[in-house]
Amino acid sequence: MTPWPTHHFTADDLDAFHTEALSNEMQLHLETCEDCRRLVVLDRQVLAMMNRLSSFGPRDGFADRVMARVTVGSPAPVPVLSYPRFTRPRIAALSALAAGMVTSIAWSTVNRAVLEGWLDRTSATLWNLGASLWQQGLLLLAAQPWYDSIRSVSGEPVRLALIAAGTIGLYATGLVALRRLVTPSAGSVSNARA
Amino acid sequence: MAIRPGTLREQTDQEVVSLAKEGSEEAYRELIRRYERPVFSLVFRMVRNREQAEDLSQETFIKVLNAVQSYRPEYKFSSWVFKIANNAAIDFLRKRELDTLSLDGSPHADTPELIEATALQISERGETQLDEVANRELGATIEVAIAQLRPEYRSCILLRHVDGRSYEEIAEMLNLPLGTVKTYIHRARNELRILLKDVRDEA
Repeated sequence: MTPWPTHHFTADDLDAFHTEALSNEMQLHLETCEDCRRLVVLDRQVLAMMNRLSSFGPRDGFADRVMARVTVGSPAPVPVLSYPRFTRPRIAALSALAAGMVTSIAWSTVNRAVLEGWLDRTSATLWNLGASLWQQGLLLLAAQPWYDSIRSVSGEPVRLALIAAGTIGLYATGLVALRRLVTPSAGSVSNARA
Repeated sequence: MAIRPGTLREQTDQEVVSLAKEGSEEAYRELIRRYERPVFSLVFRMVRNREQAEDLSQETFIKVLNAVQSYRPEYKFSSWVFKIANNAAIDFLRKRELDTLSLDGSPHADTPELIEATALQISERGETQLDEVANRELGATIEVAIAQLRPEYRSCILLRHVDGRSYEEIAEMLNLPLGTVKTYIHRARNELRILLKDVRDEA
């Protein structure tokens, strides 16, 4: 026995009706439901009217007007690497740079001992400066009121491991969130690249 | 490379596009010939202004044909053309909301000849005068009703029930989910039923 439908015609039922694919129960419903019959008739009229609509054409010479602005057979533009043109100011700048480099190399070769002396002094000065800054930083850190509590926590390996794991987890979550925020959505390219 | 027009007409869109890619001007013209009426009809029904429709259709074809080299043959050529035409019409409507409807000719037409030339040609050839009048009235009624739909409903229902495109094709053309396309089309039909029922009741 065909089950009795519990609803009136839906959009899908209307489509099914027009393509002669209506289910038996909806066919039965149609025979008894005045509202749905009216709906079907009206919908069929709408579709029939739309099917009968004429097409319109543009004015004569449309193709000529289009073709006047179309380049026949032009291949798709291929990106070409452009090299900078060698203008006089550019050549002069490059020559000056090259001359400076050659002079520098020649001087370094001839005055090697002087150069090494300079390098030694400079590196020693920088090393002393770095060491002094590091010591001052450590002293400043040790003078902070929270330093002792932090030190006591880091003294226990389990706590230290938990803090490290938590920090790494937080960092990774932040990275993932940032990546999602900055990645543009990839819209589907469904057709040619025009 | 000269190709007989008769031969071109028998070829599929993909074959004609291949010839166009090889530089055949006849192939370009054949593509225009195939799609100028459907594209113009769609755009005209969207923007309701003959001059604008002509400009937009022209821009559509210029865009399509100048980019024919980059056309990917795995997609339907017609879908590509309609997609560009519909986008052009929607962009135009967004820029300038047209709520005036002209069934009697372009609002810019200032001579009787121009009014005649720009009027909607609803009747078909070979009809009796009475048929022509009846069809013209019927056609005008549905044109008025379609013009009252929201632009997105209008493009969906025109592509479905005037151009005969499938739901899937329309979804691809308009970059819309399939369900949205179905909903738009059914809402449009619902609105048309209501509008046309009112007309019948008044009659």
